[in-house]
Amino acid sequence: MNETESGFERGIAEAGLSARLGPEQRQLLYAELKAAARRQRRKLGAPGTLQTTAVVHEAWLRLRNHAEFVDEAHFMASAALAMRYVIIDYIRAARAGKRAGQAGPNIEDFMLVEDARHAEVLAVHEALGDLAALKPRCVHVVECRYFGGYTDAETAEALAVDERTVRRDWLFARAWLRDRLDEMPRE
Amino acid sequence: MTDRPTPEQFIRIEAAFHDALDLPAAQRDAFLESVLDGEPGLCALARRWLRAHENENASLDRPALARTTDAADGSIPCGSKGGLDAGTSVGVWRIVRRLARGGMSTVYLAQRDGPGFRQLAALKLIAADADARRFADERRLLAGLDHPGIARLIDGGITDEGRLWLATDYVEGEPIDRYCHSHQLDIRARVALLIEVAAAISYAHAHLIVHRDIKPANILVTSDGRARLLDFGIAKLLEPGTESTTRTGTLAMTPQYAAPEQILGQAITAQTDVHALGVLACELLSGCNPFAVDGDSLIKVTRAIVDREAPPPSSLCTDAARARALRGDLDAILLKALRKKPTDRYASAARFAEDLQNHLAGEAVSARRGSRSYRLVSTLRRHRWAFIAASAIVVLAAAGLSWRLQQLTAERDRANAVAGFLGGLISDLDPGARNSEDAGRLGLADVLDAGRVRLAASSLPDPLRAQLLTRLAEGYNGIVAWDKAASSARAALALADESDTASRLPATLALAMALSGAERFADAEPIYRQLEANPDLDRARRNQVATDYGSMLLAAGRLPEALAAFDRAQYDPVSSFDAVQQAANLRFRATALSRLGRTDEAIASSRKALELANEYFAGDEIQRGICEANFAATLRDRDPEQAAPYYQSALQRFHRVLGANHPNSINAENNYALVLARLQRFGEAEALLRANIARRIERSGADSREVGEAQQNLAALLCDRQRYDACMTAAREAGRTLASSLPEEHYLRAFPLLTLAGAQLATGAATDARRTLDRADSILAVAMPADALPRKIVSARQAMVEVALGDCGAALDRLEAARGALDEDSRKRYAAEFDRASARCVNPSPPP
Repeated sequence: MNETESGFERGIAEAGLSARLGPEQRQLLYAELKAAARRQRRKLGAPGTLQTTAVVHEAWLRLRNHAEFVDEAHFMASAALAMRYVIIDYIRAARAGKRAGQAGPNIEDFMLVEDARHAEVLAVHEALGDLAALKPRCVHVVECRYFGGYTDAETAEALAVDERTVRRDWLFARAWLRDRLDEMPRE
Repeated sequence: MTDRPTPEQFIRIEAAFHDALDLPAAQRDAFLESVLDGEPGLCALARRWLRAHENENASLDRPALARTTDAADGSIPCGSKGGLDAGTSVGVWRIVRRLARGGMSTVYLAQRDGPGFRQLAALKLIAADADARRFADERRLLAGLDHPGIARLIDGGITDEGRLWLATDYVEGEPIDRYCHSHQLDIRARVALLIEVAAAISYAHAHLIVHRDIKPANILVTSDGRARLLDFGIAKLLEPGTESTTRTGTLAMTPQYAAPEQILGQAITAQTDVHALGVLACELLSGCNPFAVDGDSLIKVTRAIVDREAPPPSSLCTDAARARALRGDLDAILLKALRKKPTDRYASAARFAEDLQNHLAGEAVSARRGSRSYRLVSTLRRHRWAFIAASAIVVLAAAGLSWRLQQLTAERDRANAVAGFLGGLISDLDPGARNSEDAGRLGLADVLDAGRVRLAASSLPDPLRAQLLTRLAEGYNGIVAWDKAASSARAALALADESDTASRLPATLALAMALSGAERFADAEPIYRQLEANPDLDRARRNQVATDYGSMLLAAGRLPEALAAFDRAQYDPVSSFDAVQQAANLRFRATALSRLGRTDEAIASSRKALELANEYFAGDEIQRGICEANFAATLRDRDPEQAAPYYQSALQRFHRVLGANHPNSINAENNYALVLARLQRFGEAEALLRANIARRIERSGADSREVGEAQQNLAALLCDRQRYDACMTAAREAGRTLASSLPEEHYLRAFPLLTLAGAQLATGAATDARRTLDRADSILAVAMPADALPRKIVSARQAMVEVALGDCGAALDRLEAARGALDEDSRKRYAAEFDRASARCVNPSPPP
């Protein structure tokens, strides 16, 4: 858990958000998103995309009175990044549980990320490190779209770029990720 | 390998990648080779990414938290492709076909055959696990709903796979929004439909069931035009558990129709449905969702619902006629339903329906309490016959029997509303004439008449009857029924004990106002004098007396005395409490100053009144309009261009709140016409003035002073346009009308003479003009000092006459002196006349 949180910290630094996000706010955001994700997942079967934004949204509602988060774009960019680590955290914990012979993640974490997607999601997370070296903005677009579940419009707002740019970056990032994922050994 | 290109290389590859994507797939490789010619490493990399792009199976487009299995559906698979095949049995039902698929459930048309009957049902299969016991409880509750506006629950159960299902009446119809559109329903029909929906919801609320997911898709209108609600209580079934952490439900309902408390995970109540009704009503009536945002971002929508006050629905309309229909009642009703705080909304769907009903019936809507003029009309309209009884309650309370009022809590609101009316507010205006058809005015007069009849027959103690008679008198003053006001006030004074100053004073003031209104100045004045001499009056009363007396003197044309009276009122640094009265004082004062030609002071006075209005009673459209009109009137001759927009704004306010035939509207229209004339927009001005005269005749009778004033304005306009014959006819007509409605020495009677003299002079009838001017001056001399502007104009015209009659000596000097004595505005205004007159002496020629 600590490992992942520090991963989140690292991500914050990579994304250039640290200056605008104090350590307390980071903790708060991370914790809220995680809790919100659990709550949302415990609700009964809604389509995934709606669910994902609902998580971010619920976290926003809880954090909206913190002055540090009044900037909507700032919050959304940070939240997408935090979601990335919440999701990775969950997958790693779920896999560790399996290896340890548990029946599955406990009910609280029920189906945060579908089993069948664990490998893909982890692979995307790991590949992003290399993508950052090529084009950092593409990483943020992936965080917003893939981990945050934002629409193109929301992504554009979070990153303060226009929607066309988001679509262009996403096309490239997606191709790049697909290329990388297809190269990776299957589990 | 170039697996890690340099930044420059990367930029080139990326550009090539995007450019290639714009081409047909077959041409892409050749394109890459041409742009990355001689760099096989880069080319290979670009090709790899292109291949990856072409191979992408869209799994990365799905967010990490989305499900891969049947993700587009969102329902948990159940039968082939997540649905039930035709013929499948569910309980006693047989699936016919799928009707609709939503986020959490799928609806099928199901059928059941029994001996001699065939029943159709909408069978809803819920794509979720749920607590079977809670489901059974809810089902029992839902089955109790039996209302023509609600699709009845007829069956329900749990499938072998553990899925819940519910069967309800199968309703064949169109969603309400589509229905309204396809049948092109007008606003009234839509409101009627909404009332039906609200009634059904109200019925459910009475059975302790909140819908939670009211939206157009859940309200079907059948071919006979009846609305029926689907899915009552289903939203609750879809919410897991009851503990607070899981109630934070953004998902169970449709965000666009959600209430803030649903988004924030707070308690769900009947008011949650009221909010949804408000959203629905807004969509059906204005055509737009009140929380619409650019794009369809869920986060933005929900945030708008939580944080943004809904705009008046009329402002959302693209259609101007529709916007007009919504402005007022409907805006107020919808906004009340859409308040953020549940307790600020209608207490129930029934109240919401009631207010819509009131609107349709032309009665007062509760959402508009707080607008003063509105409340007056509304209270009276609604309680036409209960009015006297209710006021008796107020008076009893005032007499120290407030315990009785407490017992009658149910009556209290009504009593308070009536008290508001009775508080004398009405004397300031005529809200009854709010509708141009005068329906409201008749309504108000009816109420007062009925009150008088019933009061005469009642056996109430004298002091109470005296107080009620005073209220009646104030009411009659408010609708300009001076004679009835005077007789009611006299009756009140006859009943009130000599020592009971508290009730005698308002009756006395009402009497004096009625007499002034009837222009019985000689009767009114001693009353004011007596009141002024009364040492027992408090400051507020003194101010009121001074202002009332001043306005009487103003109406009587005794301007300097009026000014002195207005100045006797002394206001503390303003409190909002007497800001309205102080503004009235300042306005009347401005009028008096303006008529005396003291324009700068007049403008200052009326500007201050307007400032008070904007600061202390900005919500009072009528008072603001009055102050705007007054300011414009004082400004009119100095700066017509600046004055025009104030008139226009005032006129709009009056039309909106009072209707076109209200005296305020009529006056503002008249004055607006005068400004248009000054701005050389003669055609518009003349048409407006003629219409205005007709309105005045209809309202006050052909012999009234109001008509005479308007006729005089028309005469002046015609003279300005050099249509002298028409001008003289109009001026004579104005003179006749004013002669029959004003005392002989009233200064207003001089104005048609002045105009007439101008026309006579211009047409060469100088001798006639001289006579006319002498008569004008003898009238003005009574009301005004020699240096008042109208008198200066008279003496200037007199000099013109002498010059025109050939006196190029002393008269010419007098003419120049008169010109010099005028203020700048008037000099400009009469410049042409002066020049024409003096030109005769420079170059004598026979008059035209």
